[in-house]
This record gives sequence, structure tokens and C-alpha cells, in this order.
Amino acid sequence: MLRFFFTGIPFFLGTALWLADGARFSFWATSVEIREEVPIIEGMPELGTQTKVSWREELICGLETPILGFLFSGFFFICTIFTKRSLKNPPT
Amino acid sequence: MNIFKILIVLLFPLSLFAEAKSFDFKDPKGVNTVIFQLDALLESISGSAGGISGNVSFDPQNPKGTTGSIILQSSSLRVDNPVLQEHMHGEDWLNVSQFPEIEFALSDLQNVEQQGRTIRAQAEGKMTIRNITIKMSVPVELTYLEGMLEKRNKVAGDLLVVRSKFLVKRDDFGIKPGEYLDKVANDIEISINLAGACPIK
Repeated sequence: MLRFFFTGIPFFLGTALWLADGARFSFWATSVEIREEVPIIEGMPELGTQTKVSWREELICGLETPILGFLFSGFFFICTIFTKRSLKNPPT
Repeated sequence: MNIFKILIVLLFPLSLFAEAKSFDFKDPKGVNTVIFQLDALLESISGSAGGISGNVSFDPQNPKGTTGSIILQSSSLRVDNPVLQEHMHGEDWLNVSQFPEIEFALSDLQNVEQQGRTIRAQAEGKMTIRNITIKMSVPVELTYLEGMLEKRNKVAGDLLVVRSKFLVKRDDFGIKPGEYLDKVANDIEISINLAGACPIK
């Protein structure tokens, strides 16, 4: 039973990382857009503002993370079943 | 009273010669940005572009006659996913190596409404993307800040702020028309908020 639990670790880990990064329904991102309203003339916001965009390099997990986790877990699960079968039927 | 009338008659022709000022939109501070957003059924794509240049000729006495062009370097378009960005710049989509510029050429302003420093109008012009040019009318808000360039760029002169939000359809410009509509929306929402400078020479 513990073995089956361990096979689920990649999926749980992938899902946890994806949830922690905001559960975005899009692919991995390697940069984050930061939008900031800055006054057109410094110290005079009453004259209007402009959106200043800057980019920060950062990996944000996308939908691939839980999917990859699921595939790894599936692979380990299949490996576990086959290992069990081969132990039950040792080669003669 | 007669002197006043004579003065008007004498000075009126001078107003016809009031010179339009040329505002350069290449921002040395690097704040000028175009923001775009595509909301498709399965995927939402947003990003920005900073490679902006162009000149707009603006006369505060005659805003209707505003002309000029805003040019965007298509290679400066950026999204958060590198693969998506590569596809967006690629041959099948924007083809930035062959079509390095996106341009809006402004011919004039219509339905001009002025409120203090702010002018609201419909900008009539031509949008060129991937060498396809289409006539467009987009709502704009211009703010003329006389003598304020010094406070922004430490150079004497005027500022012109251009704001607008409008839609372009990618199939109008031959960008994979009718394809991948569930992932890449046909409507591209564009927001601009640009400051142009007219230094005193």
C-alpha cells in the first residue's frame, strides 16, 4: 500500500506546485510582467499616469506540471505492478 | 471698440500661420508601452511592447489637423512564455523578420471635444500590420502639457500624452485567419498610453 502511495508523489507534488503558482490554465512562463502606474511627470500625478511595464525572470508552473506529474506517477505505478508480478512468478 | 475690431482683423491671419508642433514618441525614459490582450475560449494571452517611435504633428489651436504616425517594432512584442513568443514572432504569425514594423498613420482627428488640457476625438488613419493596410477610426484622448517636458526629461519643451484603447482583428491582417480561434482570439485589445516630447529648439 505504501508503495502505491509513493508512486503518487510526482502527481501530488506537480499539483501542489501548480496550485502554489496560481493554478493557471496556461503553459510554463519564464517571466512575469509587472505593471505599475507612474505619473507622467514625477511628483505630479494630477496630470495623469502611464502604465510602466517591466519583466522579471521567474519560472511560473503551468498546466504541464500536474500533467507531467500524473504521467510520472502512472509510469511508476505500472513499474510497481510489473515488479510485483515478476516477484510472484520468478524465472525458473 | 473700433480699435479692438481692427486688432482682430489684423491678428486673425497670424493665427492661420500658428505652427503645429512635432512630438517625438521615442521615450528616453522607456515608459512608453503598448499593452495587448487576447481572450480566447481556452487561453488568454497578454503582453506588451516597448519599441515605440514616430512623430505626431499637433497644433493646440487646431487639434483637428493632428497628423503623424506611431510605429511599433514588432520584435519588441513580449509575452511571458518563450515558446509562445517565438511562435508569435515566427513566419506563420507576425513574421517579424520580414515585417519589422507595425504602424498607425494618423490622417486627422474627428469629433473633437476639448475639456481643459484634454482632447477627446476619433483618430482617423491607417493601420499597417504585416504589410496589410486598413483604414481605421480609433478613439483617442490627447493631453497637451505645455512647458512640462522639462519636469519629465530635463529638457525645455512641451509634452503630448496619447491614450487609446481599441480592437484589431487578426484576420483583417491575414494573421492565420479563422485558425486556432479557441486558443488565440481574433480580437486583439490594444491599450496605448504614450508620452511624446517636443523640445524647444
